[in-house]
Amino acid sequence: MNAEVKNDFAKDEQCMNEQQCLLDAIWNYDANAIAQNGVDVRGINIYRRNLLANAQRALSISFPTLFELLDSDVSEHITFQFLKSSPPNQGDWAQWGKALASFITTTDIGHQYPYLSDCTALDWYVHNALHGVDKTIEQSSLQLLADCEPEHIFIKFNPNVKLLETKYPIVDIFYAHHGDDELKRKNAMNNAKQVLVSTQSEQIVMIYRPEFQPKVITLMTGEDVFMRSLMSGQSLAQSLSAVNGNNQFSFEKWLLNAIEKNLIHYFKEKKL
Amino acid sequence: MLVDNKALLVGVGLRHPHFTDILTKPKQVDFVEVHSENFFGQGGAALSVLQQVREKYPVSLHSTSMGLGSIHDIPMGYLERLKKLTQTIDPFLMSEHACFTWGKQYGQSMHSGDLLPIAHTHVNLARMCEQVDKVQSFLGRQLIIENVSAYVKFDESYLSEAEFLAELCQRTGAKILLDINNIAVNSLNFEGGNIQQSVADYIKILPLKSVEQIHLAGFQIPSDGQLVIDDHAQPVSDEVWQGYRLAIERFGAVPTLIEWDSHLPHWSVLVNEALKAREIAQAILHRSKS
Repeated sequence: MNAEVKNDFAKDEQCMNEQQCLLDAIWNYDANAIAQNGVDVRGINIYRRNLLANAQRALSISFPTLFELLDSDVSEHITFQFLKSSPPNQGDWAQWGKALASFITTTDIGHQYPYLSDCTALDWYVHNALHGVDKTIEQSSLQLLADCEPEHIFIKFNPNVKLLETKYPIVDIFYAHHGDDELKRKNAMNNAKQVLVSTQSEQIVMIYRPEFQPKVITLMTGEDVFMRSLMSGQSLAQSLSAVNGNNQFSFEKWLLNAIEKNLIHYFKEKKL
Repeated sequence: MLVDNKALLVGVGLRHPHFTDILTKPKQVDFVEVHSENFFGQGGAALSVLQQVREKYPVSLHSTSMGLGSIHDIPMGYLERLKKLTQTIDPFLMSEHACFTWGKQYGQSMHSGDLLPIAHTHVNLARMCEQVDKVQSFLGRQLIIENVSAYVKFDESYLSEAEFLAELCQRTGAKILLDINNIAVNSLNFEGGNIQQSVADYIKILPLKSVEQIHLAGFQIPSDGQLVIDDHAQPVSDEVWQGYRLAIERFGAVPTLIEWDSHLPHWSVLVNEALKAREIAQAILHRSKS
């Protein structure tokens, strides 16, 4: 290594170090390092407070139900721990939080209230749907229903449609904290409380976005099996046979409902 | 010396609570500025509103996360989202800050979540020129680089921030977004607090045609012994208005924006701040012409 290159390398190292030192001081609050580097502790404290405030604000926007459920000291603690566990890495606070639902399961509060993780996952899906791509059904693809056999018909769902399996009343918990109608919120809260103290069974929750505002519902028996089958890539025929024994399920009704809810992007034909 | 090089435009930073106001109230400002990252989603209501706003107003895209001074590279995913937004909105200005944001913690790549200051050295200047060149090429747009407020200073700095930015612009063809409030905050925190003098010292270093936009904002007066925080939660202070006068006298009619990010006021209060900027600038420009 010649002297000039060595010198440049040393300068780069120094540059890396001063940036890394500042990050370490802010994120790890190494008081000794701060003092040794002669950095103003008041400044570091401002950056630390900004970081925590920005992170809390971001999570409270992306996870509004979770933040309604947690006391402010708990949410602050969880935010702080989550920052260390999963630092933001995309330059957009709105995209930070994918791992929060699984992180919650590792916390005391997550053990104490096991439904919190599923509430968090639901918030994340709703948040993503809110900013998701704007899609509506490609009307022309409906013609495939008349032209093709169900064995060859598959459905491409709107990217904002997601299914979430849970044994907790997370839809009621969600609506207990959203919407302007106070009576509806109260009723949702009462329903949630009743379900939480009774025997809980698995159910499928669907997130969808008819226009700009995402909505969540618990799918009825039959509808849940049918949707899961279609979304896992099964053909229309295979999905219909999965609900064959269910007399309450009607494909015609489902289709009208799916179009109204903007669930479908397009039908596609695939020769098997 | 006055350079009356373009029409005087005044604008406001547009934040979510004012979406309805901007679309329904009579047009009183010339442009709006939004934070790019707030519209990185692929769709949804916010992006739709911005597209409607764009039909009525020129839009300036102000990024806050690019971290042009970072020793680590800007992730391509970030730049691709910014490029997509740029193509959708076709902004009349695109700006970022002279700071760093990317680094590593706990063995993972991370974003600092804040505008962190850089040491003003030739090494950092070369690094930032490299990043600015790369971003300008990728976006096919000129960038405008903003001076930042800081709460720590690096002993390693041997250039002033103004010298650093002037050189950056000369080497890359980028321009400067002069934030008078940031100069004021740094003046109070590190330079004894003579804001007028700090602004005068700063702007005399910048080439006459280098400033493409001016930001004005307010800050909170701290309790004794504490640093001033650049919170954008107040009306523009008298000292910053004074600094603005100096800047207009030197740089002429530069598009001027009022930033207000916390404790947002009523729309009319925000607009009145922009109208005040127009009034001040026009008086100076008129006096200069006559």
